[in-house]
Amino acid sequence: MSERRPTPFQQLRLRENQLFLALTVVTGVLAGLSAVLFAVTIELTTRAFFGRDPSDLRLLLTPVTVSVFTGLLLARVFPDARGSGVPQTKLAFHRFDGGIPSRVPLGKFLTAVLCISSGHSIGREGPSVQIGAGLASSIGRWLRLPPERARELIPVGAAGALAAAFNTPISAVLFALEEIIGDMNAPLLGSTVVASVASVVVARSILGNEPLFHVPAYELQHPAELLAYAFLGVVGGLISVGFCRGLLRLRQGFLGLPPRSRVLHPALGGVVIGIVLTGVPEVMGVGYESVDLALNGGLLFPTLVLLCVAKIGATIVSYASGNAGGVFAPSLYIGAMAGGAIGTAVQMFAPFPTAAPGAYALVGMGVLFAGIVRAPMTSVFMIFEITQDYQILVPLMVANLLSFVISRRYQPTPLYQALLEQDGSAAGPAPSPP
Amino acid sequence: MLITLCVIAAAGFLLTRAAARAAELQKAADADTWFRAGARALDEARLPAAVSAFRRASSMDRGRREYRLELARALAMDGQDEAARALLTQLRAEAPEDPAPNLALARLEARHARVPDAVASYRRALYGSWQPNQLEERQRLRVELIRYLLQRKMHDRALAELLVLATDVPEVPEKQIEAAELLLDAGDAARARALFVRALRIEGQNTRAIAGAARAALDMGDFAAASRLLRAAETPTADITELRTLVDLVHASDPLATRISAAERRRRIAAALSWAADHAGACQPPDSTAAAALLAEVQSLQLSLQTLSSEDLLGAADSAVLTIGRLDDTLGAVCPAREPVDRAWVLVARRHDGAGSA
Repeated sequence: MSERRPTPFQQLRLRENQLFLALTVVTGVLAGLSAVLFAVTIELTTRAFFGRDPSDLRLLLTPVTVSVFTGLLLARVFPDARGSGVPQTKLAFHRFDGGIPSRVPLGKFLTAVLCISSGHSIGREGPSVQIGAGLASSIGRWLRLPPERARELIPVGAAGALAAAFNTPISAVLFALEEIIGDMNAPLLGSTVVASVASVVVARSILGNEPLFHVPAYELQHPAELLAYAFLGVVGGLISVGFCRGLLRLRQGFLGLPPRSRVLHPALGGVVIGIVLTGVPEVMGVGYESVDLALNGGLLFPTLVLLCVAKIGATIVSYASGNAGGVFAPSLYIGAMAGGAIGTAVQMFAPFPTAAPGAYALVGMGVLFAGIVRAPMTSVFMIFEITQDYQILVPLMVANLLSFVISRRYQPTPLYQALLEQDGSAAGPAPSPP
Repeated sequence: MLITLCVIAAAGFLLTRAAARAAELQKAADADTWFRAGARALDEARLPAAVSAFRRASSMDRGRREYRLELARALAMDGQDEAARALLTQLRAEAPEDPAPNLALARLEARHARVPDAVASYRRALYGSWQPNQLEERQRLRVELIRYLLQRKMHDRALAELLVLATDVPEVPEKQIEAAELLLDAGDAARARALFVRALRIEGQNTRAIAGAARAALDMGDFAAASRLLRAAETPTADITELRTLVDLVHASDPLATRISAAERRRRIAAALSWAADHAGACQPPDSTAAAALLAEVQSLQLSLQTLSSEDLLGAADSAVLTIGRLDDTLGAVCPAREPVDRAWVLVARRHDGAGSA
């Protein structure tokens, strides 16, 4: 059989694919670096704002003081930087052919650093996704890529950023497919994997390979325990629904205020957060220290319940008042506290052997993530990758599924879609496949 | 353009790495400050504050094992034993050769009377990698384990550890005496005496060694040696004086002593039986049947003593001493001999039985 030489068009196409692969790697690296720099800047800025051991007065005044400034920035300079960033990234991919203005990643970086560092109860992962996607979009524009290629860089940047933010390469790919693209069979699978791997390699070379949380090895103690985890899934689903409804309602309330007042909304939120922090400083910012405590059984039942309730309230206020930040970290936090509380009760009253409350806190994280973010595959793998605990996979899947089903039943519109609809993007992207 | 991007990526890497390093240093400094605050709080017995401070330190700098170890200790002191145990188990799993978490776990399990777990953890700590001064640390820890085993009445296991201790004990009187005292507590009077004598070869007037050697000799029934040792002490301590009194009491009370007159022998037998009757009468054991039987026996001997001839006195003395021995076996655990005169009578019985200590 004679060998066929590639045609000039095929040669060009091959070269373009190779170039795109190289670009994917570089985009992944840049997105990863941006996520790491973002996280580190938040850490340093929080330290600068609050010192090592803040007084009550500092806790009370810092959120509102900084929020006055961020309110101005979000209202006048970077209006696209409000909120999580995930729905906006989704919208850009589906509606605007991958076009995210260059000021968006910069504005998101700046405002999210200020919002999170000043004590608002919001997460950094959503902003990381938008920053990574925004960087990717800017690269596509700068290189004058064809529109469809530029669009393909969005989930690449998003996956790269999320992979570095959580140190979870697999979950980042799943999230990009499940949530940003909305199609698990996307041809972009290869690109997102490459970007995710490149990002994680770079992030680990800077931050090391420590898991985000250090948990003891937990496992199922008795088959009947699955019932307890199922109960956790149901409760988690209901909490997710309550959280989403509360957030959407309060946000609608803020959006209903006169547009001129929008500059003050973050500061209003800051007043409430300042008061909350004087009583419960543990709900400040991302709150991974408290999550670690819950995962290791270091919190008592009353504290778990208090932190769960306080975090729900604080996150709703912080997000609804228009601050820049996401709900990933708060959903993990709320889930850990709710799970830990249920686990404590189960341990006390169950007639069969049970795992320590930390195991339930671990599953709880996934449960709330599945119920709020509505990404069931990502939630299972994320918990596994964050904790590197494989033993808890079966209870996690059972509980997550229940939470997802309940959340979908009582809150049919996913949170990100509902947020877009509130912002007037009524014709938002198609909902994620079940 | 791709090359430009790579250059930007390289610059971004350097910037991010510098920022990460700055954050790491800040965190490490804060962690150290919290750690010291925790140590201060611990010294001032403010346990909740210590736990909180150590927690902060260990969450900020997970690479420093000593932060988590101190947290575990503070948790244990604050009564949060489950949390302490979980943390120590985690530390042990991370570095099985590190003796510190094993030792802390051993002490925790000991407090909860989980004897097998405590002993296992002590052993793991014992054979861990102690730096520096490995031998000294192991000796110190072995002594702690032995004390624990003796406290739990596990004399056989304590003796096994003591044999190792005695083999490795340095030629330092204080260490030799410590090991010898433990051997004595474990019931190995012969080895204890040998170690005390080794210590006395270095410090001839070490009063603790003299007292210990004398006790060991008494346990072995060698009253002559005990007497010699005690008399050789130039500056008798309270302990030595008490032992001298005890030995003199034994010599003065023993009805089976040689070269005493019949009248003196009769007097001593009467004193022995009188003591036995008082002791049996005063002690209230749960099972009074055996004690009542012994009391009856004593009273019978007292009666028969009045009509005994001088030739039969030795036999009566033997019976009296045997009865005291059986009294001590029956009532010793319930009513131990505390007063010097009680201890002297028990020693007299043991002297002729060839066992035991007072």
